[in-house]
Amino acid sequence: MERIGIVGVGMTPISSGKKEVFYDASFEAARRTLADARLDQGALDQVVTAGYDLACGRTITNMYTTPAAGGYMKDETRISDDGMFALAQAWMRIGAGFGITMCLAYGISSEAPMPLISNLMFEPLFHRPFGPYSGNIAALQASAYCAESKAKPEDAALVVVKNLKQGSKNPRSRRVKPVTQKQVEKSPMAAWPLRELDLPSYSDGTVGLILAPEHEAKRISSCPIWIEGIGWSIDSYYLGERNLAELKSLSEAARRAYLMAGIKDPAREIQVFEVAEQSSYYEIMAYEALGLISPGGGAKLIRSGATELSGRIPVNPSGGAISADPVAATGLFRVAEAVLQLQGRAGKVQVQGAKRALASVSSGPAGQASCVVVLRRD
Amino acid sequence: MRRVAIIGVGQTKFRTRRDDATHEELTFEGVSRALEDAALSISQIESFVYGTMDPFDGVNSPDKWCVGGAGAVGKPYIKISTGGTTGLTTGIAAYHQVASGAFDIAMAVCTQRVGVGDDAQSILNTCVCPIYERDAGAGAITVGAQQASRHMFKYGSTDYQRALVSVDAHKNALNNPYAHIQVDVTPEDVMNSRMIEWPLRLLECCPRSDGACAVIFASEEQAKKLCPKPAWVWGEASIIDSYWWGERPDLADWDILSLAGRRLFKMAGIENPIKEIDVAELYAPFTSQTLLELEALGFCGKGESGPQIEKGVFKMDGEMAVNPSGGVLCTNPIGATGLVRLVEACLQVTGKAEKRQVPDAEVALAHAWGGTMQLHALMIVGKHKR
Amino acid sequence: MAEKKEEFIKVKANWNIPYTHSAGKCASHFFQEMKEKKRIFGIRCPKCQRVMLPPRSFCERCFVETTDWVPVKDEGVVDSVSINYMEYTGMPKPPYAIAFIKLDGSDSRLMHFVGGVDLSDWKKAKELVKIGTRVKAVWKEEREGRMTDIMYFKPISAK
Repeated sequence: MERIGIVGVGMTPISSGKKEVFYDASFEAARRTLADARLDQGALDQVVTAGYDLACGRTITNMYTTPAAGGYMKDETRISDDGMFALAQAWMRIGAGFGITMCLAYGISSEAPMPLISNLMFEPLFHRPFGPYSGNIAALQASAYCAESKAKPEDAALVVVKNLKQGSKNPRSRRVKPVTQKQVEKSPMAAWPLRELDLPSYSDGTVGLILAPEHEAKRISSCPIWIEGIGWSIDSYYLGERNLAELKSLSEAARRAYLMAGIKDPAREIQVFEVAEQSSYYEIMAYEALGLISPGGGAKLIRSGATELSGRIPVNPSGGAISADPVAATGLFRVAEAVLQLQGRAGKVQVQGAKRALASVSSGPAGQASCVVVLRRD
Repeated sequence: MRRVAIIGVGQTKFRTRRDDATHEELTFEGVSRALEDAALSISQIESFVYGTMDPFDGVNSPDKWCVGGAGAVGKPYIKISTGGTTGLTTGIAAYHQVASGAFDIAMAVCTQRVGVGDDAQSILNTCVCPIYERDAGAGAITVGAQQASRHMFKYGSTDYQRALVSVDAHKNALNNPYAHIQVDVTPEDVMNSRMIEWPLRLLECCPRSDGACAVIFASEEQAKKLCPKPAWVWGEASIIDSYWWGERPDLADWDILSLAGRRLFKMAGIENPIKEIDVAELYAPFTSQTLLELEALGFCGKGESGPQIEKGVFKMDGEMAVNPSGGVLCTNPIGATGLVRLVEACLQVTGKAEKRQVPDAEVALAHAWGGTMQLHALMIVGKHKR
Repeated sequence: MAEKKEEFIKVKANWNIPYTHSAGKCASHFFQEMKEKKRIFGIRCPKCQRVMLPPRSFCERCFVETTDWVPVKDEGVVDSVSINYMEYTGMPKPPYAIAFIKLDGSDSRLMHFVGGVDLSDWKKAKELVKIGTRVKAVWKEEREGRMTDIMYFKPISAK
């Protein structure tokens, strides 16, 4: 398969929504993406989108967003999951012969009660009557992890402090103020053990990427960012049959991506990590799942400061999902942030001299499904 | 790009409700049938694509729930939802996974339980733009009815011609043990059935069905090893028109399907569709749509579908058999329906269609549409490699 | 699995999800004009020049922003129609006719009801609302800024 590169990035501002119709955001993101690649919409061979119908309150939302993303009368498909899964499918479609591709994810959290939307992911027979949703299941996971690893709320608070410090510098953030560990520990309890600030910040945001096969990518961009490895996987639905203290689908997705990219020691070979954290504890667990430290060592790693912007293995220099969580686009935003890092365009959150980056996302309760991509510049 | 074959297909019996199984269990049933057909074990499937339209089942992203039923736990798994085309775009996604070289064996799985919603039309109404159009109460039937009235007005097609579409479909469904509605109807039955949305009557409209199906794609190398009689994929296409159906040049002509068809035929090397294609499984939940689709895909001239149907050109023993399965008019598990078309196309070209087998069928087309008539997906499969 | 025949349990579930939809700046203006002045505006694409109705902030064909509001008459011609006789949960009470109406001055067609005539018998109704019928908007007195500020479009010939 020919190498596939990312040659354009475009994002709408992150917002609290309720101002514009959601497909106008797709249009805006697509225009910015095309402008970034200095391409006209006519250059697109296909459009691959991702978004959640229920969050948008319409069925078949690609009816609106695909034309808005430049797909009118073109080949298209839509992934009903985070945009990183759309990136995976777009990558394979290009491998099967498609040319220049718009990959776009629309994250709309402002038009519907997101906890209820999340609750509806649970079938009505066994789980739904008990009121589970992403937040309280992340809490369930956090307590399971603490029990097994001896991680403490203070450790999780450090993740929040780190990510909001970054988020306050990144224009693409919804929570714009840095916080102290004390402030985190005083924020309202959302679902024990998670406080409000331990959980992602629901946002609206739309992001586009332009992908192209190598022969086109080099013509379009002076610095294409190559998809060096990509993997995705899913764990069981039944929470009661899983070990909640580990992120199994994330580690499996990473294993696949590393295999493809030929990576043996990610902490040494990758310079930037953009991880869509479902909670502060999730990020600590992700350190282990991604192989940055051995199992059980996540809390030690956050305490050491290694994952700070200035640290040895910066994680979420963008501020991550705790800073902004445009659900369904959060993962593709991570990819976009990673691309900006590798191209030296990340502004105040730039990691110096990064050659290789990783982006990851999980969707579904307690990180049920995950996707990992390893990106590299020449 | 690699050559790809389909080495196994499976489907459940479709019914109004399957009270005996959950969504997840139905998925398992469809997947199991495909594995049996291919004589494979689940461990041989490297990657999965799951398709469904969420709101019908009353569960948001039921793919997460059904992963176990699909046999995909611990494996790559992607969810596709593109409206009525979902079934076929799910198949196309699995095809691309293999064609690209990313995987050697991939499975497309679709489950839909339209019967779970107390009223499918109120769910279909959620497709319609809530800002401009939803208040008008439009649903899927509106699409078929608008096309019917416009086609009658422009080309003079008749209630009788549409009734014949229904008669043929119902006769074919009698020979398909998986079909949902299995009754013999006469043109008079159709034309005397209850008026649903003028000009469409009850027997011109699809049922809502529960069921699942699965299709297994393999690289040429694997297909040769694993399957004595695969169906070879000749080409695929998908397309999107504007959402705004008021801007279509004319609702009597499905222009966007014509465009997708031309791209498909170019990829598959088809020059004269009606001569070269033996079977067409068209997504027509309403009789009127068979007329428009036959014309849009060039199986007859504009406005000629009605008279050609009267001549029997598209019957089982006609020039090209249309919907030997009984089609969508007799079975419609919405998000799975497109994949059911592909299942039937494969059964026909591999000679496994039993009582409904079209003799010597070598090339078959599968089609699906979705949204406000704006989305289409197509695939052609052949008995031989292209 | 037990051999005994057991009843299959059915669990009732219901989606009742409240939504707050953003109309966006373009439709907001459009609705304001309808609400306050009973006026209908299309929007023109600066590139292909077509007047779009309902108006949106961009032309997906030319991929440019739309800018110029163009007044459109509140009467036009029925381009296609269907008449509903079945009742569905949460949907309008039948009978009702849905039409795409080409308003004078617009290049696209607007979806709305055709009403003000007796639709109870489809045989008679299809003659009253057929393609080519000229219709005019019947506005509500109390308007709230949405599509239903027009109750329906009434055939001009109807009394």
